[in-house]
Amino acid sequence: MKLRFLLVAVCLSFIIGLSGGVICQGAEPIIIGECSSLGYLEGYECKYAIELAIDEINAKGGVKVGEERRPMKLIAVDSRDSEPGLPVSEALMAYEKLILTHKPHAIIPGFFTSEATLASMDITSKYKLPYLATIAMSPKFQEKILSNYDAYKYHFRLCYNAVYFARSYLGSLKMINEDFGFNSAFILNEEALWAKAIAGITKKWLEGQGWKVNGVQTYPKGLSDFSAPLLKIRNTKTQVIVFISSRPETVIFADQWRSMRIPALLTGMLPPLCGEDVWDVHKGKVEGVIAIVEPGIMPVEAIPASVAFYEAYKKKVGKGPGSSHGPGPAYDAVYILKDAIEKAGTLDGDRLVEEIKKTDKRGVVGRIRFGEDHQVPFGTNPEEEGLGVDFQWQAPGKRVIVYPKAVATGKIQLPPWMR
Amino acid sequence: MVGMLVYGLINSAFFTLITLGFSLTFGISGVANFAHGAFYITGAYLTWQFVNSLGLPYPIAIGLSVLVTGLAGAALYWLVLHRVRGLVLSEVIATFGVGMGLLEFYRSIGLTGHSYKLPTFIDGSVEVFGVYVDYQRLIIIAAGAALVLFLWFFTHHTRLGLTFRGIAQEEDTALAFGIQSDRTAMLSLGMGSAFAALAAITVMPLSLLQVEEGSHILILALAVGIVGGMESVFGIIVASLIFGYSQIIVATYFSPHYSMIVLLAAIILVLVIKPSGLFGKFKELEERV
Repeated sequence: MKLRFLLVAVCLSFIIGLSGGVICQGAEPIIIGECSSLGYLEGYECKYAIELAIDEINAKGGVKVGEERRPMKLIAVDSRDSEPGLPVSEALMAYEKLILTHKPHAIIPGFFTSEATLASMDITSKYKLPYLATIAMSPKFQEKILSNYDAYKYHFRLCYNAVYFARSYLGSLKMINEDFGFNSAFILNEEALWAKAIAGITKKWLEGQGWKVNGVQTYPKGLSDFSAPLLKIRNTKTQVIVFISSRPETVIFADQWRSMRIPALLTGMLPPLCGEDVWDVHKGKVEGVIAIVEPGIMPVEAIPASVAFYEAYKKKVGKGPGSSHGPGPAYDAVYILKDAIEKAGTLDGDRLVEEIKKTDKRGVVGRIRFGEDHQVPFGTNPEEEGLGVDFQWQAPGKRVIVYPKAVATGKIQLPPWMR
Repeated sequence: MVGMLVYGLINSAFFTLITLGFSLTFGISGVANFAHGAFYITGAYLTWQFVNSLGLPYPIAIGLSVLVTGLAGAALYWLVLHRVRGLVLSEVIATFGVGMGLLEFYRSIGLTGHSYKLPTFIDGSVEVFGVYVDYQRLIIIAAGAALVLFLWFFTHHTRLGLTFRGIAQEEDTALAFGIQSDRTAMLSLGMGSAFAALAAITVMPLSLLQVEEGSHILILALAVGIVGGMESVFGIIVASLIFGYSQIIVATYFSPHYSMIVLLAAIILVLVIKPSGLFGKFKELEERV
């Protein structure tokens, strides 16, 4: 009896092996190229997320390309494009070197900055590589794709862009207006394309809604003192600050906002203040800060994939992701690429693009479908589109989701000195 | 207006604090230490490691990291600069290379992300003339003033300080009196680096510890040094006040966006009008000629 069972088991394993359940011995890996700012949070957290997806896929037998099963492999190089003073041309050289040396089959998550992203699009198109962006946010990316679709069709974006990002937190501003009657704002953004785009959209929207915008200022990278804009905010009796920056100065600003007891809610794009360890690192000084993140940076119960990703990421890295966006879509991008390869049965860039376009997937950020401009739309219903969530740091160190209402776990509270 | 006065003073003290070490080294040894920013990061990073990895009490961690950074500065002189002393371009390349190498080393061993933050000395804020200011910023003013006073006392009332001044005023004559110029230059680099560490430990609790800050601090220190006069402490104070207040005025009435432009414009202006800086004597004679 035991011998018969053993025989059946061996035969089954053999059949599964033949049918493609395990990676073929010596099969060439499918290379994913990452050329991003690996020294920055979004860059290396996307790297971890891609590795996580690759580990899962390889553990389940890799990717079926035609009749062959092949493993996936990540080659990551540091583009350093987010560093102040580094010219875009340097980042582009690193990118083309990655392509020529390692011959990747696709690029995830793309450059950190929109400036490098836009400049690299011709290179990507030249090599016909699917490029799944999950960090850079400038809407000019979509404009460029639509301006010459045949040339730039290889580019897709899974994270929110500046327009969707703005829409998402404008919803919470509307809620702040309804709950507290606040109707004056001050916008401060870093010197970057995406940040300026968001600032412009926000100003236009706020004024359209009857808000008074007391100022829109761009600050230079590396600024170490924000007392001037903060004094202006206080003197103009501004009630809401919209701060848009992915840079470390965010921490200086938030600290100064708190120490100067500026009577205005602090909200916006604040990646350095989003991670789960931020409350402890800053000893609770972030209380009252409202920031927007993608699901996956924190688990959102309404999106089971975000909970699963968050737990798996935490298990792999030791702590949850801490940036505002990027890792969740980077993880999804690997699976989207896998599905596209298996459906196309080839690694040909043009065929892969056709399959990626057809994607309809329940991912970490919600439903992933690409529009005509190859951008995943974001909104408030994760069943239909991607989701951006606004959370507030509340005592005793919790990230409470305050917007959209459908997934909210609490209500906005004023910071201690405004109560 | 009161807010501008208070925060302008804090801003000025910040500039003084980060430049004094650079100025001291240049004034004594003539070496423009382009690794100044890297030593600034070294001081903060070591303190963070001593507190978080070794569990040392904060004051001991501060003392140790200032000492180690100072020794690293002295070692830089003895191992590298000693051999190229007097070759200005080589000195700049050597210190710049060491600085870049140090910063890249910190990046490679994991000094990235948003988790590195030094604790403030005293938590909380206080109302000063109707404006709230946190204690840490007041400490920056106190530390800047204390460091200036210490430097004055050191160079006027201690034997070692007097040898520093001797070398700074006329190296050949100082040598004739038995003052060892290499030893003095090494000590000046050590002290300058230790000052950079002290500045970092005082300033960093207001920000995040990031590798990029090293290059940024170097640019700021250079700007203040060029405008004030590299070797003149009084010039450093004046330039810091100019930058501290002009930045806050520009940021208030125009936009913070222009605050860095003020800095760079001032450098160009001073280089054109008086290359030694407002109070610098280093090449004053050549300028007159």
